[in-house]
Amino acid sequence: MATHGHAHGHELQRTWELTPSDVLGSALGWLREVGRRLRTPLLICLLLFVVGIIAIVVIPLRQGFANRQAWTYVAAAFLYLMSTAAAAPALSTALRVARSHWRRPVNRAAEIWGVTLIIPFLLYLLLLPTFPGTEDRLSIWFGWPLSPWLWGAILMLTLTGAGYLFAWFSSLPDLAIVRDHGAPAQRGLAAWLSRGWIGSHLQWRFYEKVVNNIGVLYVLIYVAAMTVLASDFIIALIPGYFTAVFPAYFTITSFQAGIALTIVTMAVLRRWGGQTDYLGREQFWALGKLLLAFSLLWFYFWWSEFIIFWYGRTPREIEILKLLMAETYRWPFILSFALNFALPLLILMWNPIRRSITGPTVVGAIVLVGNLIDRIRLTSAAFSQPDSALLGHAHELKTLPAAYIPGIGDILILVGMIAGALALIFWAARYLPFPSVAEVAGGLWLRAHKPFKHARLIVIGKPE
Amino acid sequence: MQERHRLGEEEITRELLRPLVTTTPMMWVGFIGLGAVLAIFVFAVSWMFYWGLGVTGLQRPNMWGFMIVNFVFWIGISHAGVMISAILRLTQAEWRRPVTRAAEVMTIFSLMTAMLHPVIHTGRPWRTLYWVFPYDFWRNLWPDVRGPLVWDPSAILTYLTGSTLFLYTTMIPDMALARDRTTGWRKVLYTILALGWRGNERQWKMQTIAGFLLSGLILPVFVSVHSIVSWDFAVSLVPTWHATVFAPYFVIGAIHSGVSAVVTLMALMRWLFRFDHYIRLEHFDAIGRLLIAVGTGWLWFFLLDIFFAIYPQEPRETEIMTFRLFEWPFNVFTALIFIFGYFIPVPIWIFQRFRRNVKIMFWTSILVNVGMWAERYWLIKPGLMRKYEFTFDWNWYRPSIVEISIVLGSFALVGFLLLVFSKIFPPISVWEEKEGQHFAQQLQVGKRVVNAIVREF
Repeated sequence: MATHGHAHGHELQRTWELTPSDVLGSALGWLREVGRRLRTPLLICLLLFVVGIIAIVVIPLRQGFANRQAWTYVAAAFLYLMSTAAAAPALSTALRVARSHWRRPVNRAAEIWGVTLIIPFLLYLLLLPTFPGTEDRLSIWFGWPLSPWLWGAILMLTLTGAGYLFAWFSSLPDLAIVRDHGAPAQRGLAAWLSRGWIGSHLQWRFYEKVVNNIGVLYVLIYVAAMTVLASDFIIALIPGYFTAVFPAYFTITSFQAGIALTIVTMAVLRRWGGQTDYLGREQFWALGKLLLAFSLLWFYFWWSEFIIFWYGRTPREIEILKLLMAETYRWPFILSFALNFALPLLILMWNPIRRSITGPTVVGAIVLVGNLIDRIRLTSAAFSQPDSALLGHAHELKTLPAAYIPGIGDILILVGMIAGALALIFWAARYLPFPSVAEVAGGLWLRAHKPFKHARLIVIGKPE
Repeated sequence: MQERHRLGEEEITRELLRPLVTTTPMMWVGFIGLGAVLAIFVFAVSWMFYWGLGVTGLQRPNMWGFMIVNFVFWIGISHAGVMISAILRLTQAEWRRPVTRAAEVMTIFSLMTAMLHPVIHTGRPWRTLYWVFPYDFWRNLWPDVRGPLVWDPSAILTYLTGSTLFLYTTMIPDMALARDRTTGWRKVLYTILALGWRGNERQWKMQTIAGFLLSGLILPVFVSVHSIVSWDFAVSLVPTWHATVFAPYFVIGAIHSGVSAVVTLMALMRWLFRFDHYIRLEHFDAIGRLLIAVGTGWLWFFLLDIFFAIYPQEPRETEIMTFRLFEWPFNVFTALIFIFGYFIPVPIWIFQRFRRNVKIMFWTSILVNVGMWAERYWLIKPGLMRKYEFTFDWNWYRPSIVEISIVLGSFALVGFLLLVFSKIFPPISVWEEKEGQHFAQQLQVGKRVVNAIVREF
């Protein structure tokens, strides 16, 4: 049971001993300090972002815009951001729907990544012209007019809109706090975004009813978008890669990366953002369990595909196994297997490690690297196929392409786009306080000290 | 939200042990009705054993029919126990308490019923036993361990063993409770099953640890069982079966049908045993919300299976998919799956007032399982009903009255076993209900009273 201090080896989160005004104080402290603290990282990220943009322009200029291989790392950066930054708000929704209280300080760390969605959206628009039409090749669009360009763009636009809507709506009460208590430079935008929020009973009721629904809407669009992206960017570009489970693998492993990103964000906030009172062992432990579960799912979904190809052993399936796992991209696959499944399992299977701050953080960082390698492996394999290999409804990989080795420009694109996303986070953190006052203080209102047997416990109100 | 009644420990014991000592008229109706259908089942199986498989609709190339479809269906239902018990126990969801026992028991009975099907499907089970036990290794005929038909019994037997242990571990305190309140053969039975339980601190600690350990250990088995059943089909090259999505698709379908079956059971228990104080509307609400997520997940996998079967535009796959989607009778099955499996129940469950209506929850859960049975048939049969390269004849599959009786009888068998169980053992875990009463608290927040649960962080 949770008692004051330690009980059964469990450390009580200090959050539950604070008052709502303490939380407000912490948030205002964040708003005062944030500009000074984040200036240098913001400038570095912006610089890297600009370098990345230059690389995006230069590489296709040198290799030819029609050469899809020149766009490999733009696509890898796009899919990586979709798998990490775009997945984090989905985690926040899941935790909200499950009504867990420990998630309250976590939500902001996950939802803030929604503001980065503009970068993958722009990258997607850049990548669209590199795809051939779907009339004469296998595609999930089955030759529908203007596919994949128009319909994919509409889907991505809807996802980006829903992501921003969720990020904005979930932080509405906190934006009002920034409007009322922030520095003059912060107040203008916060006043515009908070839309006259005064915290009336009616507004709170509306907020509580709608915020989860927007989150669920975002998750549904996200799953649909990832299904289409998995198909358009990977399956349809590799002749003979007939796999129904791949979109599910792609989506589930993105959720895994979203959890990993949230854990690493929490660790950074705890180490450098003064959030030790809010992001404690309780949050890392709970997310560590989730990360372990999703690492096991990584294996399950990969295995579900592998075993069918292995048993089928048709020439088509053998070529696919050679391309993605056994020959061309063997080492990226081995690394991906180790970093997304084997190491997380071996580390997180031990409860004392799961219950620490360091354990889930280290595994979170490992998974983020593993996911990046996985996305690079898949994108490199898919973008190595010329149009001629796809046209005529090709059913088999005729020749195994050589592995695509990235150049310095490719690395700059990848780093630049990730840095761009980070720059947006640093900018948004000026307006979105940590911790989320609405969430954390809302949880404190539901807390009480109660006698239980021989101890006094902290009880948190929660419906069954 | 929380409608828990404050009940005394003795009151809980008395009410939850009541079905053991009193048999209501409705229970008699259940026993007689289910017993009659069960008698038809026994007659149909005996008839088939006597005359052989010729009395069924099985013929080349339709060697798998209703019995295998029913096997897959009941394996699916068996996933309810672990989904409800193990996962909700690990996540400390309070609303699990009144439904865990029934879900676990349903797991075991539906697994046993499922296992019965491949055995009777052989037509001459005693010959199977003759060839398998003892296995004649001396002729160098080794079983192919790489084949899913070897994995199947291994996985299912492991799951059955694990589930039985899981159920038994959670029943020990209740056995002791019944032991101290009964006489005669019941006392002897409960004394044996209680294993000397006295409820001291060490025993409770061991019981809790065992419950958590078994919950964690059984989860991979739970996933593996239906995955392996799916690979019975998917590792072959039969069109529309050879799909990479089959394993997770079968598992999510199993959870969809299994959790829906738990809803059916919850409603029946509420009506039959008058457990209104224990199986409350908030429990239907919670399980309804879970079902929205599970049902939507199932729909996603269902659509993935359809889309990526059409995607390669290979003639054999396309033909079978066209057959499945547009031709009689499979077009009706497609409609049944969509409408009953998702488009009627899920939009209804979105509204809280429907989730809190027992009759609506009961009937929608029945609809889901009609849809899910149809889905199993739709998945398995069309792939077989075609001309193969090396078969000299082929035909439609038309199930005979014997097979229909076996399918209906399997439902009666599970229902009958559940009723018998509830006459011998408490259908709701008594100790878990009492624990829940201790953990329930109420808080005053402003003018409102908020329900709270004491729980371990």
